[in-house]
Order: sequence, then C-alpha cells, then structure tokens
Amino acid sequence: MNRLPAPFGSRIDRSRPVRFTFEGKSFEGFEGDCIASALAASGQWVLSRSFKYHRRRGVMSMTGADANALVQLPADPNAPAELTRLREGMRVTAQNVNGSLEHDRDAIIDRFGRFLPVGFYYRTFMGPGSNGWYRLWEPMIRRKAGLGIVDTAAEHRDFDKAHLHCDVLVVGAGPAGLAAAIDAAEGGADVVLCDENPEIGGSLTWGRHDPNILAGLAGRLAALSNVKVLTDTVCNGWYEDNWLPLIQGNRLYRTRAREVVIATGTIRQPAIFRNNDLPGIMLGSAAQRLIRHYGVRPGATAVVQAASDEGYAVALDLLDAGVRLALVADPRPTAEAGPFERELHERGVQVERGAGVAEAEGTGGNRHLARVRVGRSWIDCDLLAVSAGEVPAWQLPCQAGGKVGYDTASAAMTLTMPDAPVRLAGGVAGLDAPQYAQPIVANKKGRDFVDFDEDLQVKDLQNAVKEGYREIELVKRFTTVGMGPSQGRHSALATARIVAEATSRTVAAVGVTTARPPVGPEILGVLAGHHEPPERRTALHARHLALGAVMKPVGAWWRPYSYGAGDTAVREEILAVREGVGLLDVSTLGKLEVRGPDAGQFLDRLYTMAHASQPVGRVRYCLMLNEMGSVVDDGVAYRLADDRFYVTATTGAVARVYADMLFWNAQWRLKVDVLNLTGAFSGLNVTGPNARTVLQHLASDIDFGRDAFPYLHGREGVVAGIPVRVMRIGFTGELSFELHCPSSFAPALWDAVLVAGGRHGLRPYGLEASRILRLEKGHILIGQDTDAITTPDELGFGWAVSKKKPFFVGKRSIEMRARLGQTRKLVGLRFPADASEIPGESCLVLKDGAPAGQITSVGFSPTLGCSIALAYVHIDDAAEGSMVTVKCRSGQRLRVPVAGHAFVDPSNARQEL
Amino acid sequence: MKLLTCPMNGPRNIDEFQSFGPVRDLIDPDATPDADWSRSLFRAENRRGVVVEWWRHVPSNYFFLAERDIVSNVVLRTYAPPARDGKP
Amino acid sequence: MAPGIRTFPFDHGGAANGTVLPTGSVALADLTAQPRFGLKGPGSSAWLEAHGVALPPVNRVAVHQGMRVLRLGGEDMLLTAENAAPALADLQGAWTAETSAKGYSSWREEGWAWMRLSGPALQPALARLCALDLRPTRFATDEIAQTRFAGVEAVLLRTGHAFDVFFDVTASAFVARAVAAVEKHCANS
Repeated sequence: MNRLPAPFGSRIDRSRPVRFTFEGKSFEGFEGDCIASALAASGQWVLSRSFKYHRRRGVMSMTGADANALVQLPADPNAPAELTRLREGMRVTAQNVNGSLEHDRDAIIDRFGRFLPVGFYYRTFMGPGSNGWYRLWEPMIRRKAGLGIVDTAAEHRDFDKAHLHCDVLVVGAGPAGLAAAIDAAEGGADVVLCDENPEIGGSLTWGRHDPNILAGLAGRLAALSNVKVLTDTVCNGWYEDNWLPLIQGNRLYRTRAREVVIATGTIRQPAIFRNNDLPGIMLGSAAQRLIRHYGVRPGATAVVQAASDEGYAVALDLLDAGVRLALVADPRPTAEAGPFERELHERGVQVERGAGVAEAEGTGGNRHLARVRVGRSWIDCDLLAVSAGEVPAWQLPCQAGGKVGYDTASAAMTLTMPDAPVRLAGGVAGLDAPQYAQPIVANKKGRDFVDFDEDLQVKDLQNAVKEGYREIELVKRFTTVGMGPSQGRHSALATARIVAEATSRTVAAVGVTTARPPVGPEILGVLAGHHEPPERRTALHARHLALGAVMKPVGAWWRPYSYGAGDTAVREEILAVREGVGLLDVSTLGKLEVRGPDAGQFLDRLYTMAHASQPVGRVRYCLMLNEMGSVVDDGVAYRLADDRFYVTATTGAVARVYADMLFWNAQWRLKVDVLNLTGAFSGLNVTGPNARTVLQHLASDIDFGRDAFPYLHGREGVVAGIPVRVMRIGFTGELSFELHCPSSFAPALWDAVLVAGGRHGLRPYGLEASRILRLEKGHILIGQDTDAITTPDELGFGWAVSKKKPFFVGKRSIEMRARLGQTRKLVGLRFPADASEIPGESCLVLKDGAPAGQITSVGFSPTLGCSIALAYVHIDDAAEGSMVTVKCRSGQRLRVPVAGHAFVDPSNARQEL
Repeated sequence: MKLLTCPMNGPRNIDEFQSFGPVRDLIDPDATPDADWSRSLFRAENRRGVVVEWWRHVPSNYFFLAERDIVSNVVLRTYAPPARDGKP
Repeated sequence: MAPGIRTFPFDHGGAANGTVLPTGSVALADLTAQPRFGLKGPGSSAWLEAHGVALPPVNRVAVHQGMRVLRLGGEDMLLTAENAAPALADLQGAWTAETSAKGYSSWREEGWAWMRLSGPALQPALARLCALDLRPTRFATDEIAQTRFAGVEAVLLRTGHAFDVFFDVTASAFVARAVAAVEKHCANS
C-alpha cells in the first residue's frame, strides 16, 4: 500500500474501508477516496487505453480533465476516475479496450501508427464502391470509436432541476474565490459560491501553503449567513445575461446572477517529450493532490521537472511524503531562485539547471515509467512530476466574452474580459509568475503527445500545417486536437505554439479555438430532468373514462378516440349519428369572446365574411387568411349582442389565433377585448336526425322547433337548469345543435343529454367517427386539408369571401393571386368498393404523369360502403365526374372519379332538417 | 437565457415572450402596386443596426415594443406601444 | 346559478378526479370552487371604481370589503372572496343588473383553477416550479407575478406564507402531478 499517515489524506476516512472491483479484481480504498486514488494506493496506476494507439494510460492531472482517467461504471460511461467518489461494491471497468485493459488486442496499433496519419478520417473512408461508408467503414468505426458503453437498460434515476438567484455568483472556491465571496457578502450582497471539489479551498487544500490561510478564510466565510456554498458543483457554462447551469450530482441549478466572479484558477500544463504519456508521469499538482487529499505516495523514486518555483514546492512535498528524489531538472537556463528552490537547496537535493526531460522509457509493454533521459544521462525512476507552467482556465470566461491573448515577454497566456457583468479573480485573471516556454521539437520516433485524448503528436500538428491548414480552427478540425474530453485544457497552448512556429506567426496571432458550453461533460439525465409533457383534460374526462372510451392525445388534450375499442365501435358510432343521434365532446374547440363597441368591425378585418352586419342571434362561418392570402383557420361567430361575439377556432390553432387577434389589435387599437374561453367553456354537439327530439325532452326556455331555431342561428338560455349558448351548426352533415356551457356545468349537461337521449338511441361518439362523418360530408379540416398556400378558391370557398368589404387580412393578396390563375382545387374522390389498394394521405395525384396535387384525408365510409378522400387535383380535372390518376404507396396507379363537394347529402337537406 | 424587460411585468426570461417581428408600416393595400405588395410581404429588411420589434409577454398577453440592436443582440429599451387612431 | 350541479376538476367525477394533491412538506389545496369574479375589457375599471372599488396598480392587490382585488392589467381585474362571499355576490348582482357600459366578464371562475401552495418546503418548491425569484425578500406579500408555473401560464400571488396560483383549469391534474413530483425533490434537498 502506498498510503501516507495523517495529516496527509484530508479527504479520506481511514476507519471506513470501501471494497470495490476494477477489471474484475478486488480492491479496497477508504471512504472519501476517488476511484483513481484508491487504485493508485494499491499500485494500480493504469486506468485506460488511449483512444487511437491503445497505449496504457493513468493518472495525469487528478482533475478529471482528460480521457486517460475515464472509466466505465455499470450505468455510467466515461466516469472520471479522478473525481468519482468511491462507493462500496462499485464495479469499475476500463474503457476503450478490445479484450481487457491488460490484454488489449488493439495495442498492436501502437506499432503501426504510421498507417494512421493525421487526418486519416478524411482520406481513408472514400471507397470501395458507392456504399463503402455504410457497408464497411461506419460499422468498423462504431466498434473502434467512442469510449464508454451506454447501458440502455440502466435503472431510471431521479434528476432534479431548480432555479437559483443571487446578486453575486462566485465560481471557484480557491483563495481568490473565497476572498471575492467574503468581500461581496460582507458588503451585503446575496452570494452563491460554487466549487467542483468536495471542499472549499482549491489549491490551498493540495498545494504547499500555510494551513492558517485557509483556516482564516473559512472562518470568515462561516460567519456570513448570506453566502450559499455549493461544493461538488460544476458551473458548466455561461449564457446570456448571466444565466449559468450549476450541476451538483443529479441536480441542476439554473442560476441567474446579477454579477459573476470567475475564480476558476489555472490549468497546469504537461511537458512534451517522447513517451510523455507513460503511467507514472504526472503533473506536479497531481502528485500533490494524491499526497494531500488522499494520502497516496505517488512513487518511490522521483524525477521532478520544475519550470517554475511551484516545481520546487512539488519536490519538497515529495520529500515530505518519503519519496526519494533522484533529480530536479529545471529547464530554465536562467531564473531567479524562488523561496521553494532555496528551501530545496538547503535540503541538499541535486538540481540541474538548463536541463529538461528529453525522453522517457517504460517497463515492459510500457506498463509504467522506468527511466527518463535528462541531457545524455538516463535516470531510473517510477515517478516523473512535471511542473511545466500553467494557463488561465479560459473556458468559462471565453463563453462570457473573454478574449485569450499571449504575452510574449512572460510567455503567458492572458485573458481579458470586456465590459460585462463578469469579472475574473485570482490566477484566471493573470498568472503570478512568468512562464517558461520550452521549445517544442518533434521527436523523430514520435509518441511525444500534445493531445492525450486524441493521441496527437507534435508531428501530427506540424503535418496539418504542411497540408495547408494554418488557422487554428482548421487545424482543430483536421487533426481533432482539443476535441476530446479535455477540450484543449492540456493541449491548446502547446498547439498554438507549434502552429505559431510552423507558420512564423506569434502565439497571440494563432490564438485558441472557440470555447463553447458545456465546460465539461454532463450527464444527459441532468439536461432531461423530470419531465412530463403538458396535458389538458376537458371537464368531461371522467365521463369518457366511465363509458370505456379509448383516450388518445391530440396536441396537449386527451380526447376519446372511440367508446370501446375496434373498428366496429367506430362504425356503430357513425351509423348512430346517421340514423339516430350522437353526442360528441367538442370542448377542445377554441372559444373566444370578442367584445366591445368595435367588435363587429374587428371581426370584419380579421375574417373574410361580413360580421359587422351580422344580426344578433345569428351564427356565421368565419374563415381567416394570413396576409399572404392563405387559409389559416376557420370557425363560427355567434353574435350574442351588438358588442359581443362568441367565436370558435380550431383546437390546434386557437392559441395562435388568439395571439394574432391581440397582435392585430395592438396595431389597430380598436375598442375591443378578446378573451380566450377555451377552458372556461365546454361544448357538446348533439347530432343526428333525432337531435331535436332529444333536446325537446330537456327542460329549457329555448324553443328547439324547426322554425323557431333555424340553421345557423344561436340562442342563449337554460337547458336542464344549466346556462347554455346553443348554435345550430354541425360538422357531420346531420341536424346538429352545439351546446356550450361554463365548464363546471358540463358534466351535468352531459348527463342530462345522455338521459334524455337514452330512449332515442343516443350514443356518444369519438374522434375517429367524427373524422369520417365530416369527410363524408366533405368538410375540411384546416391544417389537414389545407397547406401553407391554400386559397379560399382552391377550397371552393368563394362564397365565404366578402366582395363588398373594403379590407380584411389577406384580401389584397387573394385578389392578386386570383389574377395569377388557379392551378389546383380540393375535391372529393370516391374509390371503387373493390379497389385493391387505397392510397394514403399525402399520396400524389398526377396530371399527365406529373404531380398536380395530393390526397389530404382518406377513410372508409360505412355510410357509402367504400373509401373516400379529399385531394388536390389539377384545376382542369376538378369538375365532378373527371377521372384523375392517384399513385398509391406501392407505386400502383389508380384511376378515380372526382365526386362533388359532399359525398353525403349534397343538397344539405339533412342538416337543415 | 436572455432577459427581456416587459414594461408591465418587469425583467423575465425570454422564454416567457413571443416575438412578432419588426414593426412594419401598415401600407394601404389599394394604393400599392403588386410588386411593392409582394415585397412588403416577403422581403425582410434585415439591415444592420437597431430595429423596433413587437413582443408579447405570453402569460399576461401584454404587447409592447423593443428596440434591439440586431448585431449585438442588445435590447436598448422596451416600451408600451403608442396610441393609434384605429385605422388599418 | 345552482351550485349543486357544478363539478370542479378534483370533485368526484371531475377531470382530475383520482389525482392526489400533495399534503407533505409541500401542500397544494384546491380553491377552485371558491367564489371569484373577474372583469376585463373596455369599461371594467370605470365600473368597478364607480362602485367604490379602489383599484391597485397593475400586478398588485387591494382589499375591498374583505375581497381581494387583483389587478392583472389596465382593464383586467379579478376579485376573490374566500371569506366575503356575500360582498362578492352583491357586487356581481349589481354588475349583472347594470344596463350601461360595465366591462365584460372574464369568466375566471370557470377558466382558471385556483390553488394554494404552502408548507415548510414552499420556497424550495417554488424554485423548482417557477423561474422567478420569489424569495420573501424579493417578492412580497400581495405582489402578483404573471408568469409560468410548472410549465403552465399562471398568475401567482403571495398571500403571507402561501402562494395562490391561478391557471388554465384544464391543466389541473397536470399541475397537481408536477407539484407532487417537486415535493419529492424538496423532501431530500
């Protein structure tokens, strides 16, 4: 065991062992361990195989930032082993292996890497043959590519979403973030402080710092009640107006902050040399995190590469952890010695100045680091701790408008923020010390990795430039540099330097690629969260269920499809309406009340017919066009009073019609108010030859007699004690009364009608019967039988368009379109009863072999005993009796006669009964 | 998510609003030649700079105007629509 | 109107019948059957003022003879009367009898469900149901927010330690289920 005694191991509880397996083998760690630390403590340094060459990889940063340390959990692919807390019984396996982590059949690729040159994706998968991609390459790549495996049978987990508001959000609880949060809170602001680590303190918890600094800050923070501290919380993006997702486990906080302070610190950078990816080579900060957070000794014999004073602090920490220091190599030829360097000198450690690690070698199969070459000498070691400098964590600031720059004098990547309500604090705002830019020279034998996720070497990037990709965004797309899980955290600066060198430009001129949300990987469940689609129920919902209705969703609504299942039920419902009487819940219809002194004038402008002149007590069809002259909605308008109309709209369109009405009147400013009564009122359609008889059985102050209540009239009154608005309209072609009432009365009205209708064979019917009934009558459904360019003329609705009104929406355009000439018309088609195939909706209607229209509605009419349809046909074929050609789904062409506008009762005798 | 300030309801997430596009001159259909009428229907100006747009706060059905810089997407101000004479 | 023949969503035989209202750390009470009366459109505010109702500014609440007066727009008012049903009935009677300009009924007693959200986890629940900052320090008693609640357009009103919510009555079951789902998250937050 590589465990160190306390005080090392601030996160672990040595009294609580945790058992788990990795690659089927049993391991033990402690409560508080992450997967990687527990494995490292047991000497298991290899965590994965690399993406392309299948090289063994292990801990590099201990920040979970790269693909090296991604592992598979049963229900979670790509879990970061360096961040994922260990749980009892956890079953962990390695990713991206063909076989096992130890015996990976694809490891052979490492020896034939020259056959996979950079950009090979764009050249290799062109052939063979026209379908080469689908037949050969795509299935192969599916097997090789990708990292973890998604378990589609994984147990459902509960995800939570909440909104969070604050004056100041501080991202990052390191020294700078803590100071910013404390300052803001002491000034009275309402503060949220978040950090992805399980504790506050950031680098103070793992770096070589005086513990009193953190204790002091933590004490001041604890005294403040107006700071909400969210640990284990990732701020995964910045969106407009300071809207930020904070992800804490399975919970998403959608956070709106007046101001944001980003204190995400810096990202330590790896060094580039041959075999710089061997397990045992890690960032100095990773070694420190292992030591202080987990009490894991990162090696027995170490070489430290120190390109900054922080490297010397790493060396001192390793000494304190009982690691033998073979050498500290400082590649800087000249630099003033910092405090840690001086302290190290006092402890008698050998330091070589002006020398960097040039190459590394591994044990057999590159299982672990064996030795490194500094200058000409090889030094045996099992740990190389690299402190090669740092860059500001630019991902989040850049989303908020920050710009990355480069200061040549200090060799430092810089970040500047525009005037935005986002500020930077600490290392992300500017690095403390000048950086040392070690010249990057490609090793002739390669394996000097720049991007560890994508297995990209120095020469790969140089080759991309040679191919002509000079711009960093193009280099990224050609090589995939920065596209892996680390998103350039460890490669962007080196890539910029390599491209700058290769194109003779400055690093600042080359820059970095655009940073976009999310900052880090996120679980899809967090995005989906708890979600149920919105659902609306009519007031009669329970009545339908009690009658055994098969309910179907129609938009947000639930509607009865039929009462009882099967075609027989639908057929019986249709026949009941044609021969007796049926009852349909039409509550989902859009219902609007337009009222005010200008109500008539308002409807005159919106609809094609005349409404200002419509008498009180009359119902008139209304047809709405858009400004292009296309039909967008229809319904009826019932004039309740001089200044009040009750207007219906189609179920799916009412929200838009209502909004459009308000929009027009925001411009017209007529004295009118529009109220959406869709939910407030319910509607029952009583239809069939016996409809009048049924209603006459109900106690009412309304005279339902033929002469007293003619077709297209409306009456207000009381039926069975219930206040109603009744309209003599219908969709079925039969004698129909539509009874509307305030929704709380609807169940009682429904019951009363059912009771009254019982002796007349009244039968409730559903949506499917309604669809066929209206088709038999040739009634159109807007949106089903109309499209974006349908004119009233194409529907044969010239009668519904006022020729006298000076203006209505769409008038100018239909006049202009009429001059352009009509090319198609909606007609009925009647199929022979013995037709071998009936075309479906959208099947083409041909004219001389070319498409002239399409079927819009089709169904079997039990009344007629054959299938019927509505279809657009060429205008020359629109006359009743013309024969048109319809192409069925199978390709079969049918010759079908055009029927009149209604299949049932074309003389309207039945509906005006 | 972007914020938009409704003159009646204050600042709200933009998903509470519906855009109705730039304010257009309500031209006289009878005095406009066909070509100009088509242009007014189908050609969007889409000129760089500040546009005045109609917006609806959906939960309250309140319509208002917003001045927006369509290059920077900054909303400069929002205000209640001025009264009109009621002519189409 | 005869009260015996009205059915509200959570009543026996109502559209939301069978949907359980949460009663734990978050409680949702159904007030849909409670009396209320709304006026909207030209003439509404003038008529109310002529009948002694002092109207609050938009999105604020006033109290008149024990009724709450919610101002939802320049010409959009809702009066609720949990404990002042007679006063509301009087006013409504006067309005019905009025023959000159009087505004128009907004039918809120039919179109909107009326529910009351309360409980020890009220604030965490609101944070999950609504995007607005509804903490007591930011959203005071008698303030109104016309916004989205549980994904549905709604009018919210803080009444001391509870929130009254008015929304499309046809979404009653949906909203009740959404609140119940949120209650589960509040319990372990």
